[in-house]
Amino acid sequence: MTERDHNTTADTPADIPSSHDEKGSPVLCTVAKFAATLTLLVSLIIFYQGHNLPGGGFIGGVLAAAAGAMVLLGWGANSWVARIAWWRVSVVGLLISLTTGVVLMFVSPSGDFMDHITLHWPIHLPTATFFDLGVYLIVIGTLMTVFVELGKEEGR
Amino acid sequence: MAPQLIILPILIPAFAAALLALLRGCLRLEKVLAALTALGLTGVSVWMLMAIDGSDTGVVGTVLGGWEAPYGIAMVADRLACIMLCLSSGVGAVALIYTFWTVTETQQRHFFYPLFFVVILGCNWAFLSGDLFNLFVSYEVMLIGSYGMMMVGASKPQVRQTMKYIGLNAVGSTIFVAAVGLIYATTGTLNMADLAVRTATLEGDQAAMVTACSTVLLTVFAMKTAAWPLYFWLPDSYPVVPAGANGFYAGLLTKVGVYSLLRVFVMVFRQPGSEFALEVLLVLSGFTMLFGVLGAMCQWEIRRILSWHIISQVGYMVMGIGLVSIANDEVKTLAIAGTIFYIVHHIVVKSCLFLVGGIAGKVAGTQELKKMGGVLDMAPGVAGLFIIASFSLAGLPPFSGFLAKFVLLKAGLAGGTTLAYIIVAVAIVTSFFTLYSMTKIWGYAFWRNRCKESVSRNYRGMMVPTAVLVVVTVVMGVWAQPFSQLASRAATTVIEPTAYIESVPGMARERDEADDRQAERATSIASKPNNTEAVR
Amino acid sequence: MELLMALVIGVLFAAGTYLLLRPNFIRVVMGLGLYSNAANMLLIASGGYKAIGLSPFVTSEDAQTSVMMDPLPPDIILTAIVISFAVGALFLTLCYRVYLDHGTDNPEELPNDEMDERDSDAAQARAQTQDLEATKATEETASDENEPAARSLPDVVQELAKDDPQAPHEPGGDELRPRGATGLNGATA
Repeated sequence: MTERDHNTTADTPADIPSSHDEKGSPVLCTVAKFAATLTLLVSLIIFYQGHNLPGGGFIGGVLAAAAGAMVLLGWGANSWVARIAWWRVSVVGLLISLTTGVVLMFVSPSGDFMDHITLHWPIHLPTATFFDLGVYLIVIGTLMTVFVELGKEEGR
Repeated sequence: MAPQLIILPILIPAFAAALLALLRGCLRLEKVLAALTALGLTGVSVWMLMAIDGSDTGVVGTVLGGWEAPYGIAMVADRLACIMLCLSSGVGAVALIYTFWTVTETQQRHFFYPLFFVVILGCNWAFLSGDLFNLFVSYEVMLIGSYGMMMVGASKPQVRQTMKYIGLNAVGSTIFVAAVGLIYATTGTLNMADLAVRTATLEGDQAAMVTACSTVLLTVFAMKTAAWPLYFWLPDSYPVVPAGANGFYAGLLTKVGVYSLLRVFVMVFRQPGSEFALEVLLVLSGFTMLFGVLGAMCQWEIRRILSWHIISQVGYMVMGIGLVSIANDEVKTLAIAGTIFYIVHHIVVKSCLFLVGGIAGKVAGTQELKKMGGVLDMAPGVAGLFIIASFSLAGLPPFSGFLAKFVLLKAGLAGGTTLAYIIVAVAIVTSFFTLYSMTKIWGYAFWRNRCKESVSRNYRGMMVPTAVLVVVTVVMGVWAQPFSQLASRAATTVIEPTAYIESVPGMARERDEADDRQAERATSIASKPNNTEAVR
Repeated sequence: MELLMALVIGVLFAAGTYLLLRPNFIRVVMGLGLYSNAANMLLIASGGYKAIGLSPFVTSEDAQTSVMMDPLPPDIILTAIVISFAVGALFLTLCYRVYLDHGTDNPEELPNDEMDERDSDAAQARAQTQDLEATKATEETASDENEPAARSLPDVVQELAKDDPQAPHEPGGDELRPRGATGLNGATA
């Protein structure tokens, strides 16, 4: 039974050509193009400054997911954004965060898990940023999964 | 061993969960990787137990991120934590291998194995964390994993029961956060070692305040432990967990609550008046034992009977913790050692019974007692496993259950208060009732000749992991000395937390400062004798 | 200020308890939301107050740490918020699923367990045998590439929901549909 259902869900997006008439309102699309880009940029800035100022991976990730939500609103649940396997993004983020902690066990002087050192080259880059990158990805992945899956409504 | 290595039991399942999630779809590879990781994790845990038990202090602590306590997140592994780690990893590995015969492709595609490792991760994290808030986070990790695993497959009853389970646990978590806030407000710290230092120096109103706040925490732990009257969520929710995984659930999840009670209420809260919470637990334990076993007696489905038995067994462990309220060092050590021994025994035997129940259900085609019968003829090996495990659960010699109950009853009788005597009497009665309901399963499912044809013959492989657990309970009963000695050694670190406190980096200095403060206060109080009277 | 906080926390907990006891899943979710807000307020209160409370960022050597806020409670709150957010999302999804399964969001109207446990046992046995056959049949052919990329829990929820003939056509079901979701799906509607 899974096979069958599975194929139907898999085929539906492919059958419909992703043409112009698939989109939501054109106003939303036009606005979303700029607004989403801008939000994504802001989210990156907030993410980067997070290690010693307000900000960080979580808030940056939420903002980036907000950008993703705009794109979803504009282009609908069949757009390329909705087809990314967002949960994989989360898992990769988790791996990045964990790996940072483990690598630091070997690199840092104290040898503690998730110890912190600062790299000064090529830019000012504390290792917390790598951990935060993982958090950023986890948050984007989780939120986008929620948006995409709850937005589908194919059951009806 | 290097202190940093004690987070390995957390890291291994975390990486395993992430990698297994990425491997989704490669069914065989996923199974092989899961089994290897689980066995490796068991090896690491056993090695940790050996190393830490052999060290001078018996405790190894570290802080994450290079911040000293009380600011860093402390992780502490003492003997008790290591015993629990061995159990969670070992029983996890056994249950995981058992699921190879029960897991369906659909379940596997819905992240069954990653979720399994998330639950193991949460348990191990809870055992190692040396910080109340970190304990909360680990609980949440464990719970979120367990929500997912309970729903794998998403049949109607599963979704309904998970709904209740999530609702109740979400309320419990909120109360946990509130309790953490209250304790932080009254003591100014959440680090367990630091709390143990600070609460020991409290007096008068402040001590009473901490006792009051700790009862909020007691509610949360009682709910997770499924102690009376907060056990109602358990008997409905465990039967819907996928077969195999339910052995792990039954063994481990409520015992995380028992462990937290032991850790927090025996070791951490040491203010004058802290016995209050323990006395409450002693009273609750009697009701828990009795109501659990009475509930089990009127059920007609193997998984439900066993789920109710978890509640009644939890009563015994809570009783051991409650007996610590009796101010007698010998009784305290005996009670805690008995509790630890009981936890080990219970996790092994209860998981085993759930696994055997699963096999019997597979052989007979159902787990409804009224429809079963003749499993003894169809699968004598399964019947053998069941009878040993159930005798052990009821506490018959020479299995581990006898010894575990014996030590607890001895502690209760040595306690010598009326309440302790009453609880001991209840414990003995409960033990008889347990035997009764085990005989019921035996009589209906195994002995009775009803159906002649076994539904499935593909059960032999499942018996291997189950047999491992049976062997453990027999060995623990027959060759008990090393185990009971280990339990007593583990008990001493819990009752006398000096070694625990000193193992956390930065805590020794912190404690000296606290001592100074207390000395100052003592001199200032001594200079004003009237003041002392007022405080008292 | 403390008194005000205590009042707010008390009212939030009381309102949350009231909602939790309503026979309606959505209200239960809202009640849980209020609960977690109340707990977070409690954490804020536990940090204590200062007349001048600077945000706890030490950016220079001569920063006045004594007038800074206690950084631990906000820290804990952030973690607690994230957790309650995750659990809340999961819980909402489940509410939706239960609604699709049974056509009601009233817990008292849900069927008794023992009634359909037998069905589910039988169904499970059936599924198991089917699955075993399916495994045999597809072991060679099945590979990850045939799989559409994202198929996580909610996906499955809806997929399984399709099996249920009554639920999707339940009258009044459309009222439960979130407005944003209709927007997302504007194309297909």
